[in-house]
Amino acid sequence: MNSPLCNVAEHQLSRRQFLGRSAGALALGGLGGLFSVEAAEALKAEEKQVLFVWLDGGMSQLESWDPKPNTLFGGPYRSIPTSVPGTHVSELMPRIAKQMHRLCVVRSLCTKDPDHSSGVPRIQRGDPKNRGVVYPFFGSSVAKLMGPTSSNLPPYVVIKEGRGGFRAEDAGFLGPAYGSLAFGEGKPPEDLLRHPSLTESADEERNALRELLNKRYAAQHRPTVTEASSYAFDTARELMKRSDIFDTSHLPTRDIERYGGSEIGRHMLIARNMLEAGVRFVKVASMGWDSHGDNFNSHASLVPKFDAAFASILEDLAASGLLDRTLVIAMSEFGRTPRINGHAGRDHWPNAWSMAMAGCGIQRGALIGATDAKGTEVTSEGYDIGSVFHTWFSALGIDSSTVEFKHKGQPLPLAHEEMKPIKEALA
Amino acid sequence: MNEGQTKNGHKALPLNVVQTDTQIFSLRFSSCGSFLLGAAMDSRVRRWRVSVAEPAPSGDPKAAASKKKSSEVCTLQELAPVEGFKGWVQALAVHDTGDGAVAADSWGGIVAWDACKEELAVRWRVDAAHDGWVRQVALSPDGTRVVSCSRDGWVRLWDARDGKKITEVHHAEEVYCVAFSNDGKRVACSDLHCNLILAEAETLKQQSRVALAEFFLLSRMQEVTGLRQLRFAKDDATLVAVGSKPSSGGFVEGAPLWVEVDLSSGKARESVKIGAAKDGFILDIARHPAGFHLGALSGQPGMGRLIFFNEGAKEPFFSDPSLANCQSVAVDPTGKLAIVACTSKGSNGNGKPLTKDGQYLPNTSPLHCFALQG
Repeated sequence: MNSPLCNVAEHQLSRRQFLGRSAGALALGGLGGLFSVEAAEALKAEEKQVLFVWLDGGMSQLESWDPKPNTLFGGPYRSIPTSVPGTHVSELMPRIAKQMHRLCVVRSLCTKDPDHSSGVPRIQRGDPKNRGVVYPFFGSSVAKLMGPTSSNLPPYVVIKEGRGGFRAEDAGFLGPAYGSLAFGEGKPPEDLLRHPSLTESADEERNALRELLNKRYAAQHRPTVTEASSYAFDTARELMKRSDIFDTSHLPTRDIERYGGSEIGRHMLIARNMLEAGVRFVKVASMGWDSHGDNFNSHASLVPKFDAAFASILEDLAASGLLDRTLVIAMSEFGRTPRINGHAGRDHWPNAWSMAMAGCGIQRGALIGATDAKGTEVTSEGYDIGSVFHTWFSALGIDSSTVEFKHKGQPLPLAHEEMKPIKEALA
Repeated sequence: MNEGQTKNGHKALPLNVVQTDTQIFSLRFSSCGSFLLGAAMDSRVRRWRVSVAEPAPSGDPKAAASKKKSSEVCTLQELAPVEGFKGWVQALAVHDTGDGAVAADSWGGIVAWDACKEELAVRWRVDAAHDGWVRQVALSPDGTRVVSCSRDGWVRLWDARDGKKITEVHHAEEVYCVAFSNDGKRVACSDLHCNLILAEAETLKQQSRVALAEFFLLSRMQEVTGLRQLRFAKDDATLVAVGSKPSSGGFVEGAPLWVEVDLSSGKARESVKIGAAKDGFILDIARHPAGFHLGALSGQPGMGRLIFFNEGAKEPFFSDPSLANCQSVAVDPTGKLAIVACTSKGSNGNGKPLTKDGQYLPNTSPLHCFALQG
């Protein structure tokens, strides 16, 4: 049962609604865009959120969402039944199998790029038609279109391994204000929190001075530069007030264990906290899925950790009601070859692969598309990432066939204009 | 050294290559030497009758003059395979002196049959011997026991005559490797984190535990298990552990690693890295009747090696780098013939490479035959 909060028919912004709301409304100042203040406010009011789980390197569809047990390319693993009768997944995902009634799995992704360096941005930017601009990552698009929630926490946060910081490059032509704030190893960027030696009043005095200097600086520089730096600082300040949301030291042991006790489990717990606190878009990036060698042992190690973390956050979001207004996505930049190489590995495979979605606007318990018995071809309608982007926007209530970005006077579609949402995936 | 002439007089002369239509994980000769068995990715154990003979004269003076290649030809006549497995068959063991052979699959099934008969004669099968991937099986020296280990964490002891379970022990994590001692009194196994566990064979009761950390890497959140084979030395005082010292997850790079564990002290006595990270794993070893071991090295795409290695040595005394991604090596009981399962060249690649007639084919394991002399 779809949440009334997320009924697409009710909440999707039609072109008429959009234009009506836009009439006479101011555009979003120097940040540009056709998107109106009223429309943005309407979306904000719905407080929809996104959890984007990125499995970097390419999870094997055959060892996860689209198993082909006991076939030529099927690998060593069995498949197991799920909570959706007739739908099976790899035995490496026993807990996700029990959440399948909440998920929508697309088995017929057919994308274009078999390389990481180009494939990662291509997938995350939606691979639109080339218009001479760098498109934003989905998280930046959401940050632009929907802004922060009423929590005023940063709208686009990435939880990842390694170093954190502000990643302006995610935003493409939207400008650095819509970049991501990355939590390296799940920790806030260094120096984000007020140093213990600095009193609150001293901090306020510093901020007043900073704002004064910013005004002087802004008078002499392009608005996008100053707005971006102010925006980053302001959202970071909001985050400083909520240090509790990334502090995992007080989490119950049971939660840590339930999430698998792994890196992705810890990061997913932080993601849960952030979503509960009101961060608009939370991306959890898990690295190391590029299993050209020893794929089956790699997946035996990695998939169960993803299984525990992903199933747990689905359980928790469902239990708290957040799933009704949170779009959940799990995917990579491509899948892995059916053919098993001489290292018992699988290579890159954009031809026929899978992803999973859940939450607001998404059809629950749906299995979209199919591949042939060997997993080498999509036998149903194939979907490129452009269709997936339209699906996501639609699930969030944004009509990507009418709403556009505006960049230097040029209207730019949110996603590939020749593609449509995956209708069966939408609730 | 790759000319086939070894310092202890052993020669490895390439014979011919026999093509197969599947990927072979493990090769073993029957104790009678007449049959070759191959545990395969296609849910079967392939069987071949083996013969080596001089070919009819071809009249090619170049071939006759070649010193690097034997003029003999190894013929592998394929027989009815052992079927009834599910998923992959990686685990394969053949009794050194008796007729028994046993194999297990990745769905948990075990099958035993008579390895020295041309007609397939299955002795017993247990379809759900484990819950999932059986990694390895081993036969006791007297041929009366089978031990198996699995991804489910169980090590189980079976009666080799009828497949009845005798005892079992559960480990906290997946068990990758298992081996019997030469006197049949002990079983060694190793787990996901490359802990070596020694147990009393008849009860599987743990006697000691040694961490072989060199074989293990935690790469990001991926546990990379480098340890792939265990063998007791002839005197049972030393245990040989082989695999890789992993340096990365994902692609899983690592340097082939040979470690000898002194079982009286429980400490690694020798630890030899054989080559660089690009050389991958020692995936399999086979003891030659003369006492040394042959090793199959996986290597980077298109690369791989057959090595000869003496226990206690610091480096291989023979290395043939001409092979692609060796998976397994078998030596016949006379020590005159070795066969190495490799991988078809060009097995790796992103996207969908097609043949000239538009087919997307699986990889296969060419079987490289060598005459061993010395």
